[in-house]
Formats: sequence, structure tokens, C-alpha cells
Amino acid sequence: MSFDSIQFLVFFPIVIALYFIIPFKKRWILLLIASYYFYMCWRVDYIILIMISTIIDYICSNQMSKINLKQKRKKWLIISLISNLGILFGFKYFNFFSENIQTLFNQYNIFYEVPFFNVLLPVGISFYTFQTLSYTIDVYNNKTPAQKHLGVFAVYVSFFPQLVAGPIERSNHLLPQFFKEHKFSYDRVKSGLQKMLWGFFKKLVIANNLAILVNGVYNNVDNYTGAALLVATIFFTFQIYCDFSGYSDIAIGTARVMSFELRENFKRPYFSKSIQEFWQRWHITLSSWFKDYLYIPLGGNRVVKWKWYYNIIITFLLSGLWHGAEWTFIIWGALHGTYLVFSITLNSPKKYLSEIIKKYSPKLNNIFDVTITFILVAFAWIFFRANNLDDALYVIKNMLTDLNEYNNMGMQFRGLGIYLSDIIKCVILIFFVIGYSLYERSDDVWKKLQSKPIWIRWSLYYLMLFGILFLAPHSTINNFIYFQF
Amino acid sequence: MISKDIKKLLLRSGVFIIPILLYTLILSKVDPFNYFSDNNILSQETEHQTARKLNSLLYNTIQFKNNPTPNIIIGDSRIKRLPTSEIEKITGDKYFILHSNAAKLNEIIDLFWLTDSLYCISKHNNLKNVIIGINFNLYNEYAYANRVHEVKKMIENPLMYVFNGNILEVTIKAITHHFSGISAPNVSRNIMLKRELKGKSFKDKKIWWEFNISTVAKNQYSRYKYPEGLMDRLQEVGAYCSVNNINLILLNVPHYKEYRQRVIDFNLTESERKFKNEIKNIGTVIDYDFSNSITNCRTCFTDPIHTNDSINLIIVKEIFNDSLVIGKKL
Repeated sequence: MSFDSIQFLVFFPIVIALYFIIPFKKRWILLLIASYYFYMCWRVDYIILIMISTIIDYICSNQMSKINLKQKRKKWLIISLISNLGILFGFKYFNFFSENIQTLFNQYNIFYEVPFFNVLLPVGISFYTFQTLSYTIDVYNNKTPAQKHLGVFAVYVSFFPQLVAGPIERSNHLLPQFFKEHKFSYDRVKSGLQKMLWGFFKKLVIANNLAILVNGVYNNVDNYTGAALLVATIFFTFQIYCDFSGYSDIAIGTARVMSFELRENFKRPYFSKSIQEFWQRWHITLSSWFKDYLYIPLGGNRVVKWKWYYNIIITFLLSGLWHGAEWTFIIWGALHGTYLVFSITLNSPKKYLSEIIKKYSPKLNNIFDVTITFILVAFAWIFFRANNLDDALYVIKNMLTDLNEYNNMGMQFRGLGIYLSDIIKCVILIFFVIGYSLYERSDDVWKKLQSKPIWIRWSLYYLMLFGILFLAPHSTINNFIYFQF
Repeated sequence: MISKDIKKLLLRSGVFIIPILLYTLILSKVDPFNYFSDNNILSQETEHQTARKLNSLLYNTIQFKNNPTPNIIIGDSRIKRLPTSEIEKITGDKYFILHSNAAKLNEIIDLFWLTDSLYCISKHNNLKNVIIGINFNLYNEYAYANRVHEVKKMIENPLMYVFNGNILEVTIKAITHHFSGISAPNVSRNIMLKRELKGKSFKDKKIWWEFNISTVAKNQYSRYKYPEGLMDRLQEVGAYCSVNNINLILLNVPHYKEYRQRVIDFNLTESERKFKNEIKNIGTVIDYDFSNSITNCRTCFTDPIHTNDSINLIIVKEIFNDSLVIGKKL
């Protein structure tokens, strides 16, 4: 089930109503049934994968908790890692590796048919696998106690608001919340609904409107040149932000209505002044996962310089691979890793340049840093969005040519049924989200609005609601981008 | 026992949704596209000046759904004015013209399938006679739009109709027209034309004529790509008609010679010949778009691609009396 489906409109109020009606001790049963149903609406049989992960991690963690000696606990950790990563590899990466091995064999005239696995990628597999992995590793490291209640643990693995696209929760943050009795609170429900409303607006109105042009261009890149490719790339930069942060907001809002607090996943990432800062603001729960469970165990920055760079590159390569079994994602990750390595090596000249600009205006320096970071991030998104490497290279090669041919661009877009008014609408929506982010700078927008008169708040609610109802392209199906991961 | 907080939430939610319920109620009464029933409060004049003018595709499709006929003419604005009364006089059969302004060939094919399924659902039978208005200027990979998909979704799901920006806009314009008689301008089209005409009025016939020859033809022919998938889809339609005894006619509508010259200017003569050759295998093709007494006569057209009423009458008489003089079967 997707948040933007009619089904969810029915499912959500029923679950919420039942959640507050039934006794606290039985609530985990409702949440488990709701979460499994939520997942099974997409595909029934793949729920077995979640169940397998749940049972293996439950057994492994509980076995680990019985053993004091870390060395002896290791075998249970390895069992958990192999089974979870094995499932992930089988469903997500096996064909990618087979395909590449086959290409290699063909190149060296080795006649061997590498086997392929004809399966559909389970929705959200990377998300829930990483969530359960973090739990098992934390138990192994004695950072969190093993969960004795299998039912509650199963809810932790499959909690429907964040099951298919995060935020990736840590056990010590989410698990204790299942044991806390939540009373119905008007303020909490309101706050959750506000968060959901903004999330739906970002996804349905902004991301889906931008997607029409982006998909039209990126699915047929060789039909387009110059400005059309540039506009599509800039639009995608905002589309992916609104799509994914929209999902996260809906997830956080949905959980908040039931009085659960999920971790924030985005903090105005396009206002970052460096790539390093960008990764502290973009998909925070994933980047912190990689930091805690890969980068730091590899040695982090407390090693010799070349090893530090190596750690960064490896972390980002795997982060790219986490997103998808495609070379485009790997290059996207590698690009970000390279950006970071360069930003470290070029730190001194950059500081020097900043000092010079700061002399004229500190604000100008900030604008300069934000702009450079934005351009680097947008450039990397080309690889993320392109259907294959050839397309990505075509976009890069052609996006800065014929920039004066506005009429040509208009004609190219007209082929997609997109007119000047549609482009203007998209630009206004982009400025709306930028404006919102600027207003959010000091505090949460809704908290700020709380002190304003009711008519201002309600006007904003209606603006968003009517935007969702009348501006969103409902007839086109645009799944959340991160569902594929 | 309901807590104070729950009461507060229910009360505020109730108040909050009032404007949405009110809008739904107004729409169901005004209903400019006759989606819910034919009995709305609007006059036909208002419907034509608003809904049909601003979204001919949706308006005509719903009209067809409400009153399906086994005989249908599908195409863009060039078939809009074919006189159905004359057809009825000749054949005794009622024909419905399902036109959509600036329809593309892929949309015309989509419309064929949509109307066939609507007719099947309503009458448990297949269509009898289908005429598709076609021309080489639609036979281009770049001549693509996808509006029928949205119409289909709206027909299937009333929520898609109720909560749609275009329906909201048309409803407001219909109410305005109903009470004040003010016609609704197609603002975005007018802005676009004004820009392309560099401020000149498109209502000036001479300017409009020149604009078609220079700009519209250039837009259509300067970027050409053979539409690989379209022919397969047309063949699918042809095969379906042949299996289900549907009489399919492809009417290749005429263009004025200056407009036809643009095909030569853009080196597309061979592509046009290929197009005519290929459509021959789909169904009966009646061609008017070659050098003849219509395409050489400026006064036969209201603009370079739209024939006037007297020519439309001649075309209809020739086709339905099976006595082609100007047109020819391919």
C-alpha cells in the first residue's frame, strides 16, 4: 500500500481509531496486523521475507544476550548478517553481478551461461534489512538489550509508517516506544496531521508535477538537447527532495498521530554549505547508519590520510550500491565520495578563498558555498536519475549546449503536453518549497504558526489541501522514488 | 466515553471539511460536463461556451458515454464540422463526432479503444461504423500527447473528476457564464498564441493564415521522427475492426496547397508516401490530401488545415454516397 493511494485514506483512520480503542497491552497485535496488511497490499508472498528476517534476528539476538563473551557471540552475529545480507543480495544484487560476470565472460570468449534469478525486487527490502541489521549489531555490541517479546520485535521490524522507505530507525529509539502507553492527545494528532499534510503536498503537488517533465525528458534523453536537459535536471533535484522528504514527513506524521516519534530524515539539505554538511542533512538515518556501522568500524578519520580517503570512498560506493544494483548508482556514490575527498584535500585554498569573500560580505560567502554545493549535488543526481550510463553521459555532454534556443525547448516540451504555464507552475512550486525551507530555518514551521491567528493556520491548511486536490496530477501514477530501493 | 480531545478533533475535522463538501455539492449541481447526469442547471449554450470549448475531449467523451451510438467519427478539430445531419439523411444512421482539439494520433487510437469499450459496456455490442480523421502531420513520433488516459481515469473514478484542477476551472467559468453571459477565454492558449504571434491578434484571418503556414507547419514538420509504435497500434485497431465486423474508414483530411508545400520544404515527401502506403493495410482509406480542386482552392478553407462547411458537405456526400469524385480510395 502506498501513502498516496485511496486505500490508505481508508486504512489510516481505521487503524488510528482501533489503536486508541483497544487496550494498551494488545496494541502491538493491531500494529503487527496493520503493518503486515500494509505490506501485503503490494505483494502477499514477500511478507515471508520480513518474517524470516524477524525470526532469525530474534533468535540470534536472544542467543547473543545469553552469552557474555563477545568472541562467542560472534557466530550468532555472523548468522544474522549472512542471512539478512544473503536475502538482500539474492533479491537485489544477484542479477546485477550475474550480468556483469556474463559481460566479462563474453569479452574473454568464455562460453558459460551465468544463471539469472527471475524475481521482483521486494519493496523496501534495503530499509528493513538495514534496520534489523543495526539492531543485531547493537545487541552484539551490548548497546541495546535483546528484545524478548517476539510480537513487539516483529512490529519494530515491520512498523508500517516507515516499513518501505524509512526513516531507518534504531532499536534503542523505537523499541522502547512500543512499551509506553500512549493516550490520545489532540495536540499530537494535530501535529502529526500537519506533518502529513506538508508531506503529501510535497509529494503529490510538487514532486509529481515536476515528474511529468523529468520523466518525459529522462526516459527519452536523445530527443532533447541543451536547455531542456538542464531544466529537467534542476527539476529532478527538487523532485527527489520533495518525493523522498515528502514520504519521510508522511511517515513521521503517521507515527506521530499514534504518539510515536520517528527520527527526522531531512534538514533543509539544499542549504548545505558543503558536501559534508549535505550528508548531515540528507537521508540522515541512512547516512548515520553508514557512519556508525561501516565508516567508523573501518577506522573513520582516525587513520592515516590515504586510509581515511579509502574509508570515505568505500562508504559512499556502498551507499550508492545500497540504492540500486546499477552502475549509475555506484557512480553517484563514488562521485559524492570523490567530492568529499576533494573538499578535504582542498580545504586550505577553500578557506583562503572564503576569507577573501568574507571580507566583502559574509553573506556572499554563504551564498557562494550553498550554490557550489547545490551544483555539485545536482550534477550527481544526473547519474541517479538516468536510466543507464549512456543516458547520463548524453545529458552531461548536451545539457550546456544550445542554451539560447528557448523556442526549441518550448517545442520539445510541447511534445510532452507541457506548456509555458506548466513550467511557470513548477517554478512557483519550487520557490514555495524554498520559501518554506527558509521559514523553517530557526524552528519548525508549524510550531511557529501555532502563535499565529487561527485564520492564518487554516488558510495554509486549505492552501495545501486544495493544492493536493486540484493541482496534483492524479491520473499519472508516480510511485515514491525510494520504493525501488 | 469520548474524551475532550477526541470531541475537539471530530468537531474541528467536521468544520474543516465543510468547504470540500460544499464544493462537491455545487459541482454535482453545476456539472458542466454532464458527468453525473444530463440534468444540470446549465443551458447547452453555457456548456458549449465553457466545458466543450475548454476541454472538448472530456466533454465529447462523456456525451458519448451518456448517449452512445454505434457509428462514430474520431479525430481532431478537422473532423469537428462534418455534417452529421447530412450523413443521417444519406445513410439513415446517427453518427457521433468525438473530436478533441489538437488531438494526436496516439490519442485518437486511445479514443477508439475507449469508445469501443464504453459502447460495449452500455449496449453489449461492438461499434458498427468508425471513421478516423487522419493526416500525415499526426504521423510523427514528436506529435504526442496523453490526455485520453486522464479522461479514462475520470470516467472510472468520480473522485478523479471531482478533484481535478481543470474541472474546478471550468465549473467556475460555467457559473460565471450562467449568471453573467461572459464567455470563458482559454487563457493559457491565448497567452501562448500571443507570444508566438508576437502580440498580433490571432483573430485577424490573414495573420492567422500566415501563422499556420510559417509557424504551425514548421513546428509539425521541422522535427520529424518515424513513429514506430503508432503503426503497430493502428494495425491492432484494423485487425480488431476486421474480426468484429466494424467498418473502419480512415479519412485523410485535406490541407491547402501552401501547407502541403511545407512537407516538401522539410524533405518529408518520401515519409508522406510511406505513411499513405502503410495506412492502406489498416482499413478503407479515403484520401483528400493531394493536389486536387479542394487543396488548390484557398476559399475552400477557413485556415490552411480546416475546410469550410460547403467542402465538408461535399466530402460527406462523396464518402457516404460512395461516389468519390475529388477524393480517392488508396
